[in-house]
Amino acid sequence: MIRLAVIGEEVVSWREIDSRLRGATTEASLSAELYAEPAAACHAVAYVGALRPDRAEVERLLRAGKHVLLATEPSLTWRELESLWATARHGFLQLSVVNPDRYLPSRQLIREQLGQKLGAAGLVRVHRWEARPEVRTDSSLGLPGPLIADLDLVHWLAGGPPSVVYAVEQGGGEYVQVHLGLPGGGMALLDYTRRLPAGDSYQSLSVIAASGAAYADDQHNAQLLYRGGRAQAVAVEERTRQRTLLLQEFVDALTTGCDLSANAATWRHVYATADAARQSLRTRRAVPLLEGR
Amino acid sequence: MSEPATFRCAVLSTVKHDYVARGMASHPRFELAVVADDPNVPEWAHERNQQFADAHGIPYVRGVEKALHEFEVQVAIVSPEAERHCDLSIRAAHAGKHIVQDKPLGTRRADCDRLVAAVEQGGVKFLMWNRNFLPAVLHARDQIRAGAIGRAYAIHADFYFAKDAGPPRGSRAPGYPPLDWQAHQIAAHVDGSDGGLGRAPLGELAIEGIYPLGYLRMLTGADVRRVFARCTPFFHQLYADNRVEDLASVTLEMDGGLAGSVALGRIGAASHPSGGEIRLHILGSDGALVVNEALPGVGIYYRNQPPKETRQRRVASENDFLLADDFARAIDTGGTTILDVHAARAIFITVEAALESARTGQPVEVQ
Repeated sequence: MIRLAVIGEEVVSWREIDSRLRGATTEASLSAELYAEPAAACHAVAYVGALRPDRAEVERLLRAGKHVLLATEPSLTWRELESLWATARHGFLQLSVVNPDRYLPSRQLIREQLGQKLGAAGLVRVHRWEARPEVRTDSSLGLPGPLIADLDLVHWLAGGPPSVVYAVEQGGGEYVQVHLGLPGGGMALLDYTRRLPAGDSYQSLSVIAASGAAYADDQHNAQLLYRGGRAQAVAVEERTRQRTLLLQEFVDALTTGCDLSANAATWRHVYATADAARQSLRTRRAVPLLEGR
Repeated sequence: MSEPATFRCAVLSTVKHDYVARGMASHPRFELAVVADDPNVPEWAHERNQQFADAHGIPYVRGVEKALHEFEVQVAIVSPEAERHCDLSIRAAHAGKHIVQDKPLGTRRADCDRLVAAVEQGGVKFLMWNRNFLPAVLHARDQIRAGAIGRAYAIHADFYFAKDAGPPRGSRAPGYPPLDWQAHQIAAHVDGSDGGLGRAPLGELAIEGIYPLGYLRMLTGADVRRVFARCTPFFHQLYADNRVEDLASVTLEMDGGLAGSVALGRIGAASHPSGGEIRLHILGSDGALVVNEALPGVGIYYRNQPPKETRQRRVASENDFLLADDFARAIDTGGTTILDVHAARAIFITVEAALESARTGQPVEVQ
C-alpha cells in the first residue's frame, strides 16, 4: 500500500478522493515540508491543484527518497525540471510531471474519441479566462502557467508538437493569444487572460476533427441559480474525478514500477513551443518549430 | 400621416442565393418587381432565375439594363456567381439604383475598388447581406453598448457550419480526375449544400468570412490592421482538388490594440446536430461575454426525423426584416447601412491578407 501525501488547496475534498483510490492511503497537507525527511511516513508526495511548487522543496523531497507527482499548473522552468529529473534518476525515484487538465473527464472523453470516432484534430480552440490575482505572481516561464498547460493539452490532442507558432499579447502578458500550425494542415487557437473580475473562471475547448467535432464548454456545463435579479450560471464541477484519476495513475505507476520519465519528452516539446511563442511576441513574426515538421 | 415610400426591386440573378431577395421581400417597404440577368448566362442560370420569378409572380427579363431602366425600380438585389457580384452591382450603381448584395463582395480587389467608386459616384446606398441582426448578436451589441464588460480588448468568433460538400477528403483513389468546382456547386444547390458558386473555386474564408468579421466589426467598430492565418482543405475532396480552404483560423490585430480571432470551417454535417457551432467570446476591461449565436432556440426531436434536419431550431430571428429596415432607413435618411460598401471592402482586404498569410506562413499587414 502506497502512503501518499497530497499537497493541495483546501477546497478539494481529499477524503472523498482517498475513498476512491486503490492501492494507496492518502493524507492531505498544505505544506510539503513535513515530508522532506527520509523518516517521514510516506512513500510519495503529490502536489495537486493551484500551487506553485518550489524547486528546492521538490529537490529535498527527492533527496529524502520520496517519489513526487507535480500535478499543478506549470511554474518551473525547463532547466529546473531537467535538474529535478536528474535527481530523481540518481535516487531511482519517480518524478511525474502532469498537466491536470488532461485528467478532466471532459478532456479524457475528447481524447478517447479522437482515437475512435472523431479522427484527426483539425482545429483546436481553447479559451481560458481567469480572475485577476490578488497578488500578481509573475511566472519565470515568460508565459502564464495555465497557457503552457493549454499548449500541453493541444500537443496531447493533436498528437504532437506544432510546426509554427504565432502569438500576440496585451497588458504585459495579462492577455496572451497563441496561434499554432499543426502538422498535416491542422491549427490551434488559444487565448488566456487573467483580467476577469474576481469570481469564477471560464474554460472552453472545442476540437474540430476530420470526422466529427467535440465541444466542451463552461457555457454548456452551467446550471442556473435564481436568487432574485438576473439568474446566475453555476459551473458543474468535474474535479473530484479528475484528481482521483491523476492520483490513481501515479499510484499504479509506483505499484507496478512503470517508468514515468517518458513524459519529459512531451514537456520538452511543450516548453519549446512556449519558447517559440515568446520569440514570436518579441519579433512579431511566426516562428517555425523543427520538432513539428 | 403619409405612408413611407415603397421601393421596387430588380433581382439581378438568383443563381446563388434566393434568400437575399426573399429576405428583402419580407419587409413591407420592398417589393420585388422583376428578375433579370444577362442573356448570355448558361441555361441552368436562366432556369433558376425563371423559377424564382414564377414563384413570385413577376417577370424574368434577359437583359439587366432593360430591367434597371424599364421597370421603375429603385433597388437592385444582386446574387449571381461570385465573380459577377461586382459587375452587376457596378452596373446597378451606374444606373442610380441602391444595392443589396450577396456575399462575397467580389473575388478581386480591383473589382471591389471599382464597386466602391461606383457606389460613391452614384450616390446610392449599399448593403452587404449579413447576420448582424440575429438576436444573440444584437444582445452582445447591447451589452457592450451598455458598458457591461467595459472596454473590449479581445474578441473571438467561431463560425463552424455543419454542411458537407461531396466526398470526404482522401476517400477517392489516387489518379481520379479532380472534382469540378462549378459542376458540384450547381448540383449541390438542390439540397442547399452548395458553397461558393462560380467558375473560380472559392474557399470558405473568402465566402463565409464576411459573417464573423461582420460581427467583430459591428461589435468593436475597429479595423483589422494585421493578420496571421492558417487555411487548409481539411474535410472535403472538392476543396482539396481545387486547392481552397474549408477550414481556417485567423489571428487579428486591430485598431486600438484590440486582439481577435476567427475560427471558421465547413466542418461536415456530422459535426454538429444543429447546423453548426457559432459563438462569440468577448473580453472587456470589466468583464466578458460568451455568446451562442443560435439562441434563442427550441429543440425539436421526433421519431423518424431525417438525419440532416436541424434539432435545435432558431426562433425569434428578425434578421431579414431588420436588414431590410436598416437599408430603408439608410435610403430615407442618407445614412449608412449596417455593412456598407466600405465596411465590406475592409472585410474583403482582411480576408485577402489572411489568405496571403496562410500562403506565406507569416503575418501580413492589411493595407
